[in-house]
Amino acid sequence: MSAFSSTDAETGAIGPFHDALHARYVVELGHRLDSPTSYEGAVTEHLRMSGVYWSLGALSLLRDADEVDASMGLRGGVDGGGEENGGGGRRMRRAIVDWVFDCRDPRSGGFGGNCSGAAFGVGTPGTATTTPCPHHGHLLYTLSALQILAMANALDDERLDKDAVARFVSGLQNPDGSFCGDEWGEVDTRFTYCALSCLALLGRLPIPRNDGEEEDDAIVDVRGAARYVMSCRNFDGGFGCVPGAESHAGQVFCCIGALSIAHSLHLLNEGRDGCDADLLAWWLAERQCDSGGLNGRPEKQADVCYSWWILSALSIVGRVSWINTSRLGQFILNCQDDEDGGIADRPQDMPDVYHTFFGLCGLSLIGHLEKIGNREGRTYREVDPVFALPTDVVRRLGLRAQVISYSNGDVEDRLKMHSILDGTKASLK
Amino acid sequence: MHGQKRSEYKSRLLNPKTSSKLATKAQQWNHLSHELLTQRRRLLDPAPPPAGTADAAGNDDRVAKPSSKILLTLTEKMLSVNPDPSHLWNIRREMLLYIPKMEEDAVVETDPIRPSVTNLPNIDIQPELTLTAHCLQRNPKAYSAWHHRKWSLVHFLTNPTLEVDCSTSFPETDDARKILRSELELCSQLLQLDERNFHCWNYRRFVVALLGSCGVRSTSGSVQDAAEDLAANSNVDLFSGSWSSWLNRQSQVSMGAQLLPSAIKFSSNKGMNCEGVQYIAKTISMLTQEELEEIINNEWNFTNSKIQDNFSNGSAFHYRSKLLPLMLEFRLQSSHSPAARYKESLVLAREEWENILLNAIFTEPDDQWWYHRFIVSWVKPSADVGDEMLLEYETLLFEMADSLRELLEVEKENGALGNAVDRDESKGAKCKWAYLGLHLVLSTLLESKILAEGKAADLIEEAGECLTELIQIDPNRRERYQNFAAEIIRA
Repeated sequence: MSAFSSTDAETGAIGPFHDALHARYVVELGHRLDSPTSYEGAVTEHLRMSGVYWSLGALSLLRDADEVDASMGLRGGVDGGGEENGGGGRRMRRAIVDWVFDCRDPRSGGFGGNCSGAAFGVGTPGTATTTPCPHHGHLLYTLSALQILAMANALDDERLDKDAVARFVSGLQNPDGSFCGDEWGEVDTRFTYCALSCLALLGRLPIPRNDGEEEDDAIVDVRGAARYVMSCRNFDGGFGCVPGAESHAGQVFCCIGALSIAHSLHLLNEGRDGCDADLLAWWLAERQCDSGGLNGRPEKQADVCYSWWILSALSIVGRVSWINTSRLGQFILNCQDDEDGGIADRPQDMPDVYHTFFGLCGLSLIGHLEKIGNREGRTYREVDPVFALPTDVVRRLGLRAQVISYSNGDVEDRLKMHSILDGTKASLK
Repeated sequence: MHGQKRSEYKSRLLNPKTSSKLATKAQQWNHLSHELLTQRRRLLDPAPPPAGTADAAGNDDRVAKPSSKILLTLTEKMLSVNPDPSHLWNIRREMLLYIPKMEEDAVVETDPIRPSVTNLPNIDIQPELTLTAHCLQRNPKAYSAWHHRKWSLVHFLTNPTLEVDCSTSFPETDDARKILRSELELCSQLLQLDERNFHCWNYRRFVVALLGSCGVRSTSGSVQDAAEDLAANSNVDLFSGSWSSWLNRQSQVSMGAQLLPSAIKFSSNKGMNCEGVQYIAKTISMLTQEELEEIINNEWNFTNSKIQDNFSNGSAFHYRSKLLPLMLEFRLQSSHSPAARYKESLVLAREEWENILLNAIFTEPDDQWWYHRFIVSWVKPSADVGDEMLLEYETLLFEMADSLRELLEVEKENGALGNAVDRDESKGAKCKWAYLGLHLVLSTLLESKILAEGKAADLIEEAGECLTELIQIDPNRRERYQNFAAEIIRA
């Protein structure tokens, strides 16, 4: 007891955290969605790639890589559980990595959100399955696919044609620097983030040179991408999905993440319209509601997912301290389902894997997960605010983005692999 | 799951009747999904497989190719239930564009999805408008459905088979405008249901840009020249990236904002690459200056009515911030000296303060602060406007300060009488925004080069008091206010 009371004091009054329930929730989710009678599985079938990424991401913050591999069936198939094919034998679930490659759309070179066949490429052993028919390649799912492969340490798998994927990504850039999500032309700053993050994961991202020279042979125009992002900035310092669109916290993450990957955060303070990094950080800080949770736009309800979108952006611009982190942490913990695991958008709501992942990310970014770990004698992996992957994965891949620091270039450990822009220097002020 | 109460959701699942209903729906969906992808593969298979290659499950791929109509019907069925999946809209577009062409020409293409055909067919726009309207009623935030509506409009309006002659009027013009105006009407209806739906606000700007994409008629008669004139004469630099330059700079920019070149490249034939907008411009015909002004005025009034309906409408205030620079251009007409230009912007800023903000601040003080900040910053003078104008700016700021002080006095009295109104969770602490507004105005005054001797000390003290108050009433953001305090001291 005495050991507990000292850690309790140190952690403040952090409420219970349902570690085991969350892990079970995530692991069992895939089986639930695979069921041909799952309504949730049916209506989210098209974005399964992202669903798998959120699941893996969530479990990766709770468990080490080997455990994740074993319980999710990353590289080897796992028992699909149940006998839902009417006694046709227990189903083996295809390894996630294999399924990801089934979802590669050979025509576009990108990855689709799923492939045909009832959910998740399940096949009963001994029965022929039809060839998988992938959905159209899209930047959203291509990024999720690469993030999954990154966590599975499978980016060097011979089935991954890095050049083809990179061509798919670069082919979607428009002359104004923006990116389309796929060949059908929807433009959105979300896709700019996806594109730059994909290229970074593939090791194909050209970093703009400091001497201002353009690189003629670059696969994409990184400066142009950053310029386009800046053209989406509004008077409140925030960013919208296209020029002229109102600021939205989810979009802010995409824009700040893209600038960070492009090593272009200095652009935030180069405008002459009274906008700068601090105005943005302040607008983000104003998203904290009385409940402690964060909303996405003024006058909206708090929602757990903004714990990620906003905290990641605040981490990148070095201003996490501008919100009340302990009240936010409490809000996220209040959104846990204490019976079946998982985290919801708001207290008492039904959890889902998207909010579970981003809730855990939020807890990680404010250091709550670490404190909880200390209390319970566990070590939790940390999340990287730029790439939305565990920091050990980002380090292993040698990814290097950019963050701002206001304390003489000092940043917390999780950010140390990134390049640091000193916010107090005149260049940024 | 957004907004789903846990207890209700779980008890629904435990109800055998509901859960079997959901299971049936799921099976129906999965069946349709499988059917659609299988049919599509059959349709696209470049050559029938050699005889006798039925797969192990007994399916024989040599069945006759399905018609594109079957796939259109399937996508319609599925999208009406769930408008989110982008691949379903993609398949729909493939069927609308490429497959009919192939069927008609009986060409064998190596890549049937992106055939090398020219003169792609135009689409019948009405079914697409009907379907997307239905989907958006079901889910007004479905990105894919909004995108399909944009895509359909653009494809319809850029129809390369239309022989367009810019020098004469032609019937298509009126049709196109009629459609676009009815799109604005649809936006108004949807915004009636949810005034913060940013998808809908974006779509509205997109339609307005289409309507105005032709720019103004210039003396030379060329659309391009007219647009360049306007761009050169407006403060594109100052408002770079804002909607105003987006509207003005025509060509790729006006469309590029939301939907672009690759989409148009696809539906292209000769001469229509990323200048697809030129086609649109021609299709809609050239707008006169008056017509353009009417469109923008209409938008300006629309935001005004939205704000009068509900003062806490951040989306409408945002739109206003993008329209304001355009309003300035219209008012300036021919006078362009920096001082004259500045004087007019000051008039506009004062109107916004007196007609919109002052009113809003006194009735519901929490919400308009960001727009207030924008107005103060937008009308901040540069040195070249002359001392007289600098003084006028200062006067406006002092008036703002007086109104905010008055508001704070009133609120203090109310507070003392226990009249504090209930707040919902997203609103800040009491009077927070008035203190922030006052702090903003005071610190802006402190930057003034013509501020009278001896005034600075008082302003610094009062700004500091605002921050002390703010730290008290809004402790969550203490660090931000402390940072402000440090900035005052540094300055």
